Amino acid sequence: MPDNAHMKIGRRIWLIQAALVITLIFLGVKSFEIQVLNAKEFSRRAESGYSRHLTIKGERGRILDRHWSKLGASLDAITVTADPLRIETPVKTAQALAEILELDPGELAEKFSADNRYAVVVENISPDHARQVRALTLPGIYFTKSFKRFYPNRDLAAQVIGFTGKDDIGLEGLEFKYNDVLDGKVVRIKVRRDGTGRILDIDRKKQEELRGNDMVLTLDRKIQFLTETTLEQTVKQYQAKSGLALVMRPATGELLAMAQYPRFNPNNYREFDRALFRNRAVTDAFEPGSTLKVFTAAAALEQSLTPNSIFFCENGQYRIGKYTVRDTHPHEWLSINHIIAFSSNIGAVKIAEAIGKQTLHDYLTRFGFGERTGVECPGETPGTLMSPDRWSRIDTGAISFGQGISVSAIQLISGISAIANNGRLMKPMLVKKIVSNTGQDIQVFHPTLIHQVISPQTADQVKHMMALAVQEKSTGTKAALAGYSVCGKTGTAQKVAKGQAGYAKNIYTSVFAGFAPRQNPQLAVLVVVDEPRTKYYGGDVAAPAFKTILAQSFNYLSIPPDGTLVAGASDAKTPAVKMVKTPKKGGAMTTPVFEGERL
Amino acid sequence: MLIICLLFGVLLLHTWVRTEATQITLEISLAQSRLSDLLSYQKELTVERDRLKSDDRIVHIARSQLGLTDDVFNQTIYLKREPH
Repeated sequence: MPDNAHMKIGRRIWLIQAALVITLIFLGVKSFEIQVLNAKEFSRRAESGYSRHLTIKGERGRILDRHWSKLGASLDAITVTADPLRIETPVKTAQALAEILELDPGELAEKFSADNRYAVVVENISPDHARQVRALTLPGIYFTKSFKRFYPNRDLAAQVIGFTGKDDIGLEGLEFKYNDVLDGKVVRIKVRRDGTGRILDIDRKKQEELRGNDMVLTLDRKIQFLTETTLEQTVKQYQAKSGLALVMRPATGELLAMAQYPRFNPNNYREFDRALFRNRAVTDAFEPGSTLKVFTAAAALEQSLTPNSIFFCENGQYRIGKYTVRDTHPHEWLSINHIIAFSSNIGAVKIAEAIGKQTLHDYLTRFGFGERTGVECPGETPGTLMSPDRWSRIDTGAISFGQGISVSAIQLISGISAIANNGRLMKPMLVKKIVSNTGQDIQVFHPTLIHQVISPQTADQVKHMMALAVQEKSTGTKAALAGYSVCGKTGTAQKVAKGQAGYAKNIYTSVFAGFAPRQNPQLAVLVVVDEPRTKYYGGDVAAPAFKTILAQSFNYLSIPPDGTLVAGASDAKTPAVKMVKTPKKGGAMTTPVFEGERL
Repeated sequence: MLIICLLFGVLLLHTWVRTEATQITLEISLAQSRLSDLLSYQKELTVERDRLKSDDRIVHIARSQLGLTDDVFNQTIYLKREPH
C-alpha cells in the first residue's frame, strides 16, 4: 500500500514537473518569439503608444533693410482644429470658443455638428489666445503650430517686399521671387507623448536650425519713408492717378528707395485691389518724354558734336511729312546745351537727324533701354524700343524727345545714374546679401559694372547741360536745391489714347530725373507722376518732389552742400538758385538747426 | 527568502527610478513649453517695438498730437566766416 501511495505521489510529481518543464519551454519559446523573432514589430507597436511622428517646418526668414531694420518678419501663431466626432457637446464647445476667439457661435456649432473628422476652427491666432483656449481643455479641439507673416512698417515698400499667402508661401514681390531662400526647411521628427497624448518634447533647437535665410536689402527704411511721403503729397496735390519715385546711389547702382503711390498694407492684402500689388517701377513702361533728350545729347557728343554745336529750331514749328513737331517756346538757333536747358523738341529732332537713327538706337540700347536690367524683382518689363529698321522719319524724331519709346522707371534711373557715374552703367541692386539662420553670409551681392556707355568727358558735358536745365530760365528751376549743384531734366509726355489712334489730349506723364552734387553725385532721384490734373509739366509737378526728396535724403545722410549761396539760407522764395564755387579754405561752414518744434 | 526580498527591492527601486524619470521628463517638457511661449512672446514684443518705431507712426503722432510741421529746406544754416 505505502509503495502504491509512493508510486502515485511520484507519478504526480513527475507529471507536475513535466507540466512545469513544458510550460517553461513554452514560455521560453514564446519569449524567444517575442524578444527575438518578432522584436521589431512589438517594439514598433509599443513605441506607437507613447511616441508619434510630426512634420515640422522652420520659420520663414526675415526681410531687412540695409541697416537690418525689419521690413518683414514671422510671428509664432497657432491654428485651432477640431475633430467633430469627438466633441460631445457641440453647442457648449462652440459658445466657449466663440467667446475667446470672437467668432460666430452658430457657425462654429454647425461645424462641430458635421459628420466628419476634421474642421479648421481658426487660423493663425496669437499664442496668448491659444493659451486661453487650451485652459478650457475641450475634448476634440487640437492645436497646430504655425507662423504668421507680419510687416511692422505696414505699407512701407509694400510693392517691393510683396507678401505671403496661405501656408506661408510668397505670392508677390521679393517674398515671391525669393521664396526658396526665405522659406523654412521641413523635416519629419519623432516626439514622445504622455498618457493623455500630450507631446512632451518638440525640439526647439531643431526648429531654430530649420529657420529660412534672411535677406538684407539695399533699401534704406528712412529714405524709403521720406520718398513715399513726398510722392503721396505730390500725387494728392496734383490730383494725379498714381506716382513712382526711385532713389539710387549712382556709383554702385544700389536702390535706397523704390516708392509707389497708391500703396497697400500687406498685413491685410485681401482688402486691396490686386492691381496695387505689382511693383510698377519694374513691371510697367511709360513714355519718358524730354528726360530722354539727355541720352540723345550724349549720343551726339560721342559723335564729334560739341555742347556748343548749334541747330536751327525753326521758330517753334517743324514739319516732318504730315506731322508737325512743336516747341513750347519758339527758338531760332540753339546749342545742344540750350536744347537741353530749354527742352526743345525740334532741337532734339535735329540732333537725331544729324547723328542718324542707327546711332541713336545704339546709344539708347547701350544705356539699357529695350532690355531688362536684371533687378531682383519679378515681372520686369524690357520696355519698348523698336528696331531702327522700323523707324520712320517721324519715329526717329519722336524717339529723340522721348515719345514712341517706352521705358521702365528702373531703366530710366539706371541710365541717368550712368551719366552721373562718369558714363559707367551699373546693374541696379536691390538685394545686398543673403544671410543664414546662424548669421553667416551665404551670398553677398556686389555692385556690377555693365559697361562704359559714354566717355567720362561726354558724361561731364551732359552733366553740365543737366545743371543748366535746373538754373534760371530753364525748365527745371523748381528742382534747384540751395547749396547743392543739382543736375536734372524735366519730362512731360503725352499719353497714348485708350481705344483710339494717337495721343490723348490733356493726359500726361510728368517726369523729373536728376542727381546731385554734380562733382561727386551721391544720389540719383527719379519722380514720375501719372496723369496729374491741376498742372502737368514735369518742371511744375515732378521737379518740386525731386527737390524735396533730395533735400530730405541729404539731411538724413549728412551730405554737406557743395557750394555757397548767393540768395540766402532759405530758398522758399528763390526757386532758381545761382551757385558759386565753395572756397578752398575758410568760406562756408554748415551746422544743423536745433530749433525744436520742427520735424 | 533573501533572494526574494532582494528581487523585490530591485523591483521597487526600478519602479521608483522609472517614475522619477517620467516625472522629470514631464517637468522638462513643461519648462520647454514655457520657454517656447516666452520666446514667442519675446519675438512678438520685438516686432511690436519695430511697429512702434515705424516712421509713419511717429510722424503721424508728431503731426496730429504734438502739432509739429515739416521744415525740409531750413535744416542747414550757412555761417560766413568772420574776417580776422
